[in-house]
This record gives sequence, C-alpha cells and structure tokens, in this order.
Amino acid sequence: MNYLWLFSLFLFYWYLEDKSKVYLLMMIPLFFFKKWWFQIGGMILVYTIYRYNLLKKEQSFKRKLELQFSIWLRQLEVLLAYNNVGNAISLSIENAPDLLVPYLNELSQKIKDNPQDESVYLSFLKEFNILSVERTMHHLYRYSVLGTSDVEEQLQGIIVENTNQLKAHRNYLFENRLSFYSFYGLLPMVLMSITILGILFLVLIYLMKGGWNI
Amino acid sequence: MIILIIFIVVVFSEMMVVIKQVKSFKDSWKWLIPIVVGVVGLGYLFKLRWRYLVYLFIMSFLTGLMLLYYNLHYMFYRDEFYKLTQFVLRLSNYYRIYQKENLAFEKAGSDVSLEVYQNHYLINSLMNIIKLGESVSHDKTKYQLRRIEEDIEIWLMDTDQYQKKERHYFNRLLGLFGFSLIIAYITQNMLHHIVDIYVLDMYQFLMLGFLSSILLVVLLAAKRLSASWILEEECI
Repeated sequence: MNYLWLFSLFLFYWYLEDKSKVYLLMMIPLFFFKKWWFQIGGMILVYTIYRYNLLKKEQSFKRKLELQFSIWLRQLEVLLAYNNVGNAISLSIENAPDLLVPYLNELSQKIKDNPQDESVYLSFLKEFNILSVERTMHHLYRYSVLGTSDVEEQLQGIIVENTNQLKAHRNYLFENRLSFYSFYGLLPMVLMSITILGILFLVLIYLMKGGWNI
Repeated sequence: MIILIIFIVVVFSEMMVVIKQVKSFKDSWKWLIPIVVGVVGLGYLFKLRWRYLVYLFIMSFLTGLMLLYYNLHYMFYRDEFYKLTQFVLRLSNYYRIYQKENLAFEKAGSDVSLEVYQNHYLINSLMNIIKLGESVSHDKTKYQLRRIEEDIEIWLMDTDQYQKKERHYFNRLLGLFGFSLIIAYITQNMLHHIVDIYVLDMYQFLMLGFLSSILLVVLLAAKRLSASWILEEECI
C-alpha cells in the first residue's frame, strides 16, 4: 500500500498550494480500507463534493458580482446626469464596490484608448456571462456614441429596472436571514421531547427493577 | 457543574465585551430581576436541588446581562437607522428647495454626520448628487433627487418590515419555549405520581440541561436581533 501514502502526500502538497482543495484531503482516510471498490467509490464521492462546493462558491461570487454591478450602476446613474459615459466610468472608480475596481480600471483605460469601439464595452465582465451586464453595457455604448433622446430613454428604462433588481436582492438577503428561524423554531420541541423521553426512560428503568414479573 | 462550565465557556467570549460597557446599562438593569427570578422559579417548580438552583441563578444572571446588552444594541441600531434615513430625506428636501449645500445642511440639522455612512451606496449617491449639483449645474438635480428619495423610502420600508418580522419570529420562539416548558412540567408532574423521580440524579441533570439549553438558544437568537440595520452587503 506504499503508493497510496505517496498519493496522499501529493494531495497534501496540492492542498497547500490552494486551500480550496481541502475537501480532497477527505480522500486520505479512504486508503485505510482494503476493498478497492470502496476506495474508488469514496474517491468519486469526495471529488463530487469538491466540485459541488466549487460550483456553489462560483455561484455565490457571481451573485455578489451581480449585486455589486447593480450598486455601481446606481452610482453611475448619478454621474451620467452630469458627465459623458467615459468620464462617468472613470469618476465612478473612486467609490466603486471592491470586486469591480480592477475590471473598471481596465475598462476605463480601454475606453480612453479607443472610445468608438463597441467590443471594449461588450468585453466588460464577459467571462461571467451575466445577462444584465451585457445589456447595460450595450446601451451604455449606444448612449455614448449616438446620444439621441431615444437611446437616453432606453438607458433610463434599464436603470429603473436596475433599482428594482436592487430591491429584489435586498429582500432575498432578508429572507435568507429569516430562514434561520425555521431551524430555531424546531429546537424547543426537540429539546422538550429529549427531556420527556429521558424522564420516561428513567421511570421505565425504575419500574423494571424487580424484573418483568409485575 | 459540567453544564455550568460548558455554559460559561460558550458565553464567555461574549461576556468580555459586556463587562467593558456595564456603565451604559443605567436604568435597564432592573429587568435583570424578573429574568433571574423567573428562571430560578422555574428550577424550583421542577424541584431541582439547591446546588442546581445556584447554578441556574448564575446562568440566568449572565443570560439576563447579555439579553440587556443585546437589547441596548438593538435600540441603538434602530435609532441610528431611523435618524439616518430621516436626516437624509430632510437633507434632500431642503437641497431641492434652496439649492445650496451649506444652507441645506444647516436646515436639516447636525445630528448625523454623513461621512460615517458614506459607504452605503444610496448615501454615497446622494452626496454625489449634491456635490455635482453644486459644481456643475442644477438642471438634472431635481429628477435625480426625486429618484434617490424614492429609493431611500423603499430601503426604509423594506428594512423596517424585515426587522418587525424578525422581532415577531423571536417572540414566537419565546412562546414556543413557554409551551414546551408547560408540556415538560405536566409530564414530569404526572410521572412523579408513579415513581419519585425528583430524587434521581439523572432527572436533576436532565432538567438542568433542558433549562440551560433554552437559555443558550434564546441568547443565540437574541444575538441575531442585535445586528446593524444597514446591510453589510450593500456597503461599498
């Protein structure tokens, strides 16, 4: 079984490189089992858990990014009333949410270099594939290049929708917090039933002291 | 003894913060008496021994102290939130009327300093509007102010509703605990007529565990109520 120890050492170093691989360390105790199908099945299970957690982390990051984008757009709305698009974006970096700052720096630099290019706008946060971001950036581009009243109206529509999204997200956060009580609401009855069962058990033991011939 | 030690260890990290701020209790310490008397009275109803009653006394005293502390926090955050939103709405109204930053701040009063809260995105946007309106022009300021007032009002209403809901859930939790205590009391009273369970060590231990875990759960639930009303996720 020596090769398995080598493999576990390799896993450990892998974990040290990237702490998110902590779930893969759960594979190590599997080597103490002798059945090969148990080892392989366990490995598949652990890897699935690891992938699942990675996916969940990604999703929560994406949700956070969406919220921060909405917040940033709310701030941009104010700046757009007094500046043009490129200026507004570069001004917004100062008070932008922390996750967006590096992306915004890149975007504002690119816009300064060639302000007429549509792909500059559309490439913003493209790797996360968020629909609202893509739509908003498209409208921002059209607003910055065309600037007609029709486009302005459309952009306003997007911005108004954005505030509704912010409201929905806030309510989601609130509901998330309240869901904690659905667990806590069970505790009184659980504690009570444990206590009552304990007392009943005591009474039963006391009654059975003399044996079963009552 | 073990239960007491576990309880104190769990609560201890929170206690250190409270001890530093005991001075701020002032009037509310009177509420300690009904809490302590109530819990010790419950222990007496369940026919606990004197030694365990003393343990319960210590635990309920600590819990009462923590509950008062959390309640103070709750009231502080509630007042802070209401003050902030009212101030911001007043400020935006006065700015719309006078269109001068200094005058609007003067009229709105100086009970809140906006610099502390400027990492909330709505406050930040409002400050931007005022700053830009002052330096660029007032053409679009009115529309922007109206939009932000709408947002702030929705924020105020949503948060208020959520807090009321959470308070309601907490009270319901307390009611459930009362209900479970009544059922436990009836059961042990009934079983007492069959066997004299009060003299058994196991019974005493169970009941002390039951009461102390109730105190602990109430404490943990109350801790959630004492959080800030301004969501962390919405800050920049």
